[in-house]
Amino acid sequence: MKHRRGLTTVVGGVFFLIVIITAASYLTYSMNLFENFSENVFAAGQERENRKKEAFDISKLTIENNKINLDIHNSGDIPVSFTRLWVENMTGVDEVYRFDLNSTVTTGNTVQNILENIPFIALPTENYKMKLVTDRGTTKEFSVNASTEPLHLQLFALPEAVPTNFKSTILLSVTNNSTENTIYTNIQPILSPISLGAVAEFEGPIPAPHSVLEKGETAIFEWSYRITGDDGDKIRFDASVLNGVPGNIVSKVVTVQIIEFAEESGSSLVSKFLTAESAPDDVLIFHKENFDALGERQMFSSTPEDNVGEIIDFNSTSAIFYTNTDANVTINIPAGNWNTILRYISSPMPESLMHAGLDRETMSYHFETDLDSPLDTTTNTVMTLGTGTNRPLWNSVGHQGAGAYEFSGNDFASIAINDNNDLDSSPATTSGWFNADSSGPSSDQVIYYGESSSGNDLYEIFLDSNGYLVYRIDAGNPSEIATCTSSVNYRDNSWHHFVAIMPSDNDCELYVDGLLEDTDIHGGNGAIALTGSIYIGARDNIGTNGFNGLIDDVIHWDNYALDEGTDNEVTDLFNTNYGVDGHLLDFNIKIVDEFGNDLGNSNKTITQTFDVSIPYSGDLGEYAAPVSDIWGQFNFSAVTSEAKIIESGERLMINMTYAPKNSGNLNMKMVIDDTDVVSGLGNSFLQIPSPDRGLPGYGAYDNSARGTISIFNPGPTDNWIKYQSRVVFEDEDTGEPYAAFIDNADGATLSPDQDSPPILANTTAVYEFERPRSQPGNVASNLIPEGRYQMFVFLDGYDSAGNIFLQTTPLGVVRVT
Amino acid sequence: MTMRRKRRGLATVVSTGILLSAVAIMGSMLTAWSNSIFATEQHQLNTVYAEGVNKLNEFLVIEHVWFGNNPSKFVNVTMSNVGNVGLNVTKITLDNSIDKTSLLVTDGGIVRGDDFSTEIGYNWTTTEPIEITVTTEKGTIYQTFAMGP
Repeated sequence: MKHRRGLTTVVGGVFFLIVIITAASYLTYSMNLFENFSENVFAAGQERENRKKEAFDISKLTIENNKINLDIHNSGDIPVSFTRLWVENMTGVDEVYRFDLNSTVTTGNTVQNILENIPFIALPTENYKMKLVTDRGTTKEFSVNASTEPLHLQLFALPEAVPTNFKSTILLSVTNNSTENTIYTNIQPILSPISLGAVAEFEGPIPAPHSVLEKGETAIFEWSYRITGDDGDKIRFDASVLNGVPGNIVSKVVTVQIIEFAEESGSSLVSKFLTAESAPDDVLIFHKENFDALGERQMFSSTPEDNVGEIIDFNSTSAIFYTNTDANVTINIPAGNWNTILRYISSPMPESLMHAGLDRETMSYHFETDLDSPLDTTTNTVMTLGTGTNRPLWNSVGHQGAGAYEFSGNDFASIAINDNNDLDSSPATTSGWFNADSSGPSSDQVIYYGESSSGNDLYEIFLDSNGYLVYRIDAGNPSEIATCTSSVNYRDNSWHHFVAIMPSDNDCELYVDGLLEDTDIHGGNGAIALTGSIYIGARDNIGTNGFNGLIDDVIHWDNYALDEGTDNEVTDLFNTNYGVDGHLLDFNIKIVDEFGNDLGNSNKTITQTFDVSIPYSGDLGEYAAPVSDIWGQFNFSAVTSEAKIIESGERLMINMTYAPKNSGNLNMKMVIDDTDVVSGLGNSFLQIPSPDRGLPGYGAYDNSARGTISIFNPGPTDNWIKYQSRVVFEDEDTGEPYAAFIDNADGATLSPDQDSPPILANTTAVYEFERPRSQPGNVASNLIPEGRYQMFVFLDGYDSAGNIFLQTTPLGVVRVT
Repeated sequence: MTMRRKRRGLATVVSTGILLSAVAIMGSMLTAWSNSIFATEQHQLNTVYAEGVNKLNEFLVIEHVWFGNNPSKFVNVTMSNVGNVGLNVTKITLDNSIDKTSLLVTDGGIVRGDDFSTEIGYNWTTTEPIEITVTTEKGTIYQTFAMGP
């Protein structure tokens, strides 16, 4: 028995072992499967996570030359690869295009002109829906040249009632309130004036068109208009967007009206652009006055007093402005945007080329705006573009981010010849930038051409059949021909700068991109006198030997040869940026102590930003004598994420300092405190997040004596002020008002029976007012106590044209002592 | 004494043989049974694993839907396989609450990274959104909505 039991145990044990091993194998297999599954889950989860991290934005979309320029910014955390673009022409159903893309953009970067190579002709008038697809399946759809849903449109006329011939502004606000997350691009506004008696001339819009409008974003288009008509005449403005949903239109009626009430006219005797509503506490105007401003200039919420502003030349000084100090007030400024608005003008030439007299440039075209007759900044000559199929196409970001003209082989521009471009005697210089198409013809392509009346004398700059740049001076005789030729083929789709110098008759020097390419010295006296027209982009007015590519910054000196040897003038001109990087300016905005000293506290600094690029702005004015309304505008924005506190006794300071470039430095000038600067946003100022109370101004009034104010009349009419005109002080804390009648004008007493003497156009009158009380004119009522007040002047009067006016002018915060 | 010893010896051998046989037969049956159970389980596990992993790695995107009129109204649906495995689209359903159409797809195999377009005759409108449902061979369902322009 003992033996049998042992044997069966062994046999049973073997089977048991087999079962155990089988179970263990199954368990191990299951575990492996589970591990593999977990890895797959993890990998799939990672891919889903990557899809979530993938994000991109359309940073720019424009249509130029029937090509779509689309820039995409990778705003996600991982690289994005674009695989496909779908385009639907919504003007005709069934027209759908599919383009395969192969473009990758890394994190935080922007890929430009992503659609550069797709064979698609986009018309600016047609309506497209596009969709970009990435290799992870992310899609983004956007609408081009159209809105597929009604957009939220608002139209503002500022003001809605104007005197005849008044110039003012129409604003169209377009908000993308799409319920389908649609992004609209290349939004083009349409403004249609419909006369109801009055007629309008208007310019704009600015911008036209708006590049990208994401959901929730708002685009604002601005037109400037001038209305003429009789009292009561109206004009209706209908605004919509191109290819918009039918009926998605807003209207505004503007009425011509004799000014009777300030709140109706919005005009102002003292200030043309800021009314009581538009000079709130968050707008700090740069003033020219410097008393109590630590030797610099004042900055406070008050409109300019007159049209005798000040021009700050950054070449010689920094622009520093301080608010006033007040020992009893703490001001809280919440987090938000700090916007500095500069009205400025650029120097036409870098410093080395700022010559006077005959050595000055005599003709200068930068093509910053698209005009049939582009502006010569010297105002010496007149250019006219070809028309119809001979008109070059303006490219708004053609060169250095600013405008240039594109010539397509038969386009041209002509410049009437006069003493400023006829050569007739040496020396002379012609310079410019060109960007020749690599696909351009293997024949002559003219950039600049002029000839004498007989046609025997020539002056020309062109690309020859090899793409070499040729500068040719031909005075008629074989011995009087100077030809300078480069050794490089410039048909390469790149920008190049040329300086063609005729130091003396029959001699030439040719510089390309700052380097001397060729010289040809003949000597002799073969003067060339050009007649008729200079042609840009072709040899004549039918486009013979037309240029294929872009041309910009054509400058001519009719009596001067640029000096590279001593003054590096060629290099300086080559390095000059007539585009978006024209100037560099440092901005420093901070809170300082009452003496202007740094408080050593980082929380008192709003921004300290160096080398901010400021675009060239010189097309509309002459730098040497800047007059009204020629000023460009630049906005610098800084954002604070926390509130800023101006403690009692502290000031707010802004310091703008020019950062000159080593070569090609263009100077700039800023205008401040001038009522004649009315276009755009008006004067130069700093806009801060709305403070809980007004920053201290520079006005002060001693309540123990009568007060004095000065009022400027900018014309064109003479004005009279009537009794009942008054000054009003509104307590900053309680809002309690105190007022006083203006009872004396330039020594003459005002009364119910006596108006002021005339305030002649463009003169200033001094007015006196009685001591302000709770009831003006009632000496038994309460006298204004000491404190901080918002001060306003109400003027009731009439002008020499028979119009009456009643208007309000804010003077900002004043202290009553 | 001698006779008794001989009989007992034979019985022992016989009984031992019977016992061993019984144990061997029972053991073999047990082993076969357990192997069969484990094999079945393993097969099921493999199937579940394969389906699970494939579903996990299957990812289809309805990339673009556009509407046509010529010669008659149709809807064009383009799908991309952005997953890690090939997949097979078997059915596309369009439903705008007025009209429901299902297209059984027989050539809907899409390798990884590729795309597939098909045109479905459908009386779309500009007011009724269409629910587009794509079903793959593995039973995964993808949906999107689109409306005629």
